[in-house]
Amino acid sequence: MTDDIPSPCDLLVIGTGLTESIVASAASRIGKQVVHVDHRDFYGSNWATFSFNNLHNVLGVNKGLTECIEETKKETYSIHIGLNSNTVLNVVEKWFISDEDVEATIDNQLRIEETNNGILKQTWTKSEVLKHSRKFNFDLSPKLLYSKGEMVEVLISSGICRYAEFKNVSSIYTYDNVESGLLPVPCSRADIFNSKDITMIEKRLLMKILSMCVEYETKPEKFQEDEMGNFGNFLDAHKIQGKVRKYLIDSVAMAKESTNFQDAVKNIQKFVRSIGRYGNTPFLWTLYGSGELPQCFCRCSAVFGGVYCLKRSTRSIIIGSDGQATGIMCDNQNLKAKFILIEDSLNPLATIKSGISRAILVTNKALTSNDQAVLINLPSLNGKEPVRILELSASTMACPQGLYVVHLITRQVTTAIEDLREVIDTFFSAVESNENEALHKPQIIWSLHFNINEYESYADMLPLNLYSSPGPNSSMDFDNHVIQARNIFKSMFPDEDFLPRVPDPEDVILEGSAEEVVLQESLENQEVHNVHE
Amino acid sequence: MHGRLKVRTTAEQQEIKAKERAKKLVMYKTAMNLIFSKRKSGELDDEILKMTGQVLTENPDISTLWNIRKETILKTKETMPDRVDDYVSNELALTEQCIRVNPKSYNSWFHRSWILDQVSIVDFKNEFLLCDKCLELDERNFHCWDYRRIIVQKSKTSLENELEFSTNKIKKNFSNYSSWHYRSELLPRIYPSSSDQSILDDQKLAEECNLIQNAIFTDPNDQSAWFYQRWLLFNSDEKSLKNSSLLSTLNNELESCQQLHDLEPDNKWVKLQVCELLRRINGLGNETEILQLIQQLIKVDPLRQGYYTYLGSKIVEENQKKKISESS
Repeated sequence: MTDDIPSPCDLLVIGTGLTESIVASAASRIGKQVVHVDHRDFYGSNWATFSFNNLHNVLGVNKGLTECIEETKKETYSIHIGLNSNTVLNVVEKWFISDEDVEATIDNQLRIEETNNGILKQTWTKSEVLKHSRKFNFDLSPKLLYSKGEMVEVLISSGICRYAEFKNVSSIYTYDNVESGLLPVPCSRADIFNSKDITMIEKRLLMKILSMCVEYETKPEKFQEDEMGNFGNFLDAHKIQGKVRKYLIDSVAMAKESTNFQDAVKNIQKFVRSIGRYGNTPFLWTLYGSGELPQCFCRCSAVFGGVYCLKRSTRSIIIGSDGQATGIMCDNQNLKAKFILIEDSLNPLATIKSGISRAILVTNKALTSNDQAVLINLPSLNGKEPVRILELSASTMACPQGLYVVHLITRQVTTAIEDLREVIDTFFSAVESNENEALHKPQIIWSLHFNINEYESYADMLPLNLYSSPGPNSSMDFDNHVIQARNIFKSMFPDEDFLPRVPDPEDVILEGSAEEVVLQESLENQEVHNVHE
Repeated sequence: MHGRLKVRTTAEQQEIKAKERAKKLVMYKTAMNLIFSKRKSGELDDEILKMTGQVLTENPDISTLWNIRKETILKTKETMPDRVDDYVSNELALTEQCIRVNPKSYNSWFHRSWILDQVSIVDFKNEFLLCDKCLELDERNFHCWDYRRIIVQKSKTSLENELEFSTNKIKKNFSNYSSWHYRSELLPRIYPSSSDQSILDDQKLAEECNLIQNAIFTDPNDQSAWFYQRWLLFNSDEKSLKNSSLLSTLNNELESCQQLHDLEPDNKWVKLQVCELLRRINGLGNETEILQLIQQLIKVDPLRQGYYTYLGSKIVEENQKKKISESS
């Protein structure tokens, strides 16, 4: 194959995950020659979003890691890249509905039954679900955007937001152990005012804590004692108990009792400042899945001259005699680059730090009245890690009408199945049980469990011009990755702007058009003169 | 360099803008001259409507042009009564467009309500939709609140419906004087009081008190809620209060305000309200407590020192009068 990948280039990026894509777009934007390769046949690496069929194709392949460092020549040596690294593992897929439906063969349409209560109920079969394969968008790493967080700001400032659409998360819930049910979290001032769950005094205390935390930097003298302890101590000091304490810990600060005070306050600030920008909750969900975002950045990079090659195996990184990386071996081609960025999961020098346990469910009913996206923060129960549930309705383009896609996310302790068993049993039913229970619990139609590894790399083990970027982690938002991408960019190109605004199309001068514009204007001026006379 | 993006500089952009502005000015002047000469010669026809319409969509605040349109419509009404409806729907479309350009244009809103008077059948549903839309964009647009009151009157919409509308607006954001004010206009008409002391019937008063307490506890720094509470509670004098149900309401409110005061010892609004409640309930008996609160108010809100001093002296004066009338 003789296609011309520019070599040498300024920046060579391996892996099309989010952090890599942001750095690639930022470098292209300031005129650097970027080459971006991925051995996979899709964009987004471990951040990708898949349809039903694509998911099957992708998760079917799982090969082991390849070996690490190997000396090839006397002066240069190379690091082998761990292709097909099994970042996603323990994959278990289950169907909870029948394979074939006798009646469905008679009528290809959805079978719609009317139950005793007169509620329309759709019965799905496996073949029908698979027929709608392309209407499903399953995220490997579903994440939300804080409306005033780093990701939203960079999307706006760079103009990349034009490539994607978003919807506001419609409501946030936590779990009430006392009444064992979901408890809506009042987010905005209006929510607190309207809430029927808490007393007036509790409303005052909640508002007071929120506004105190927002003013943390401006009035540090108020917090001298609080700074010493953890978040639980801080809430004790302000006599915060009951539901308000739950709201604050589980949903607003997304912390634990033991979280240190500063971290909790930072989260609260972000939460409160994000409310009201686009709606009543602080979060946005990306339509068609979080996997859209890496693609948006790649697209921006391509618009500014970045060269993209998928399905391009990169075998090794070549290190020169001076200890600097000089380029990579890519399908027997030696691609030279000033800087190289590789995703952690492909970097053989990165180690597995921890893991995330994930489940994706397709259900036939919403947990709460949900017509968009709902976030449920379950506190740690019985000593288990907190679990985050994200329920997406058809209006977020996650699935066909009438179905719901539910993502469950928690830190890995054993395997995804074990870590999430209790929560899934509490909220969902595996079989279509008797009428009464069916009315309460959503039924699972299909489920997928898997674990994703989180990697960690140490910059001091790498050549100075070789960077390694983190893959998805268990945090709920993208902001840390945006910050890391910016830091990598700033370290490569210290004096350059990070993703400055893309100019409006009317301000772009196309080649040869400048003179035409002047000519046209002078003609128009003449016409105006004629009218005037 | 090949393939690099060339972008217009700010100076170039400004130059282009300046040229556009100059062009616009010439067009504007030409159009205005034409309109005035046509009006002088009495040509109130479709062309003048078209020209004034074009100018108004650019700048909806030229009253003269709206008046020329009114003259034209009135003339049409005489000469071609069967075509009035067409002209009116034209005006509705134009004003709607102008309201989009400037939602706070006095002229556009006023012209629209004038137009409604020129026809026998009005599609009020459409008018309410317009109001809803505008109040969603800016819930404090008083032009729109005014217009809403006009169409409520014209369409004879039920007051209950309007009360519900105001409740919904308050649920969305209670810092809304317009909506609180609207309630204060509607409630006494829907739920009149059976006694002279209170302004509303007892049950509704209790409901409103609860609503306003929720607002006050959620954000004690928001003036609108405090002002509404004053309207709800303070409209009779101490004498007529004796043994009335309003007195027990006031005592309840005092209790919850004092609770809030414990939580927010530096908040001036709650101090002031406790003062006013004590004064209404028993000014003479509570004098020391009131005067203490007034001293605290001066401390937490020194800018209004004069006002608080005056309030204190007025309460003392009231009490003096009471003492004299009691002893005589």
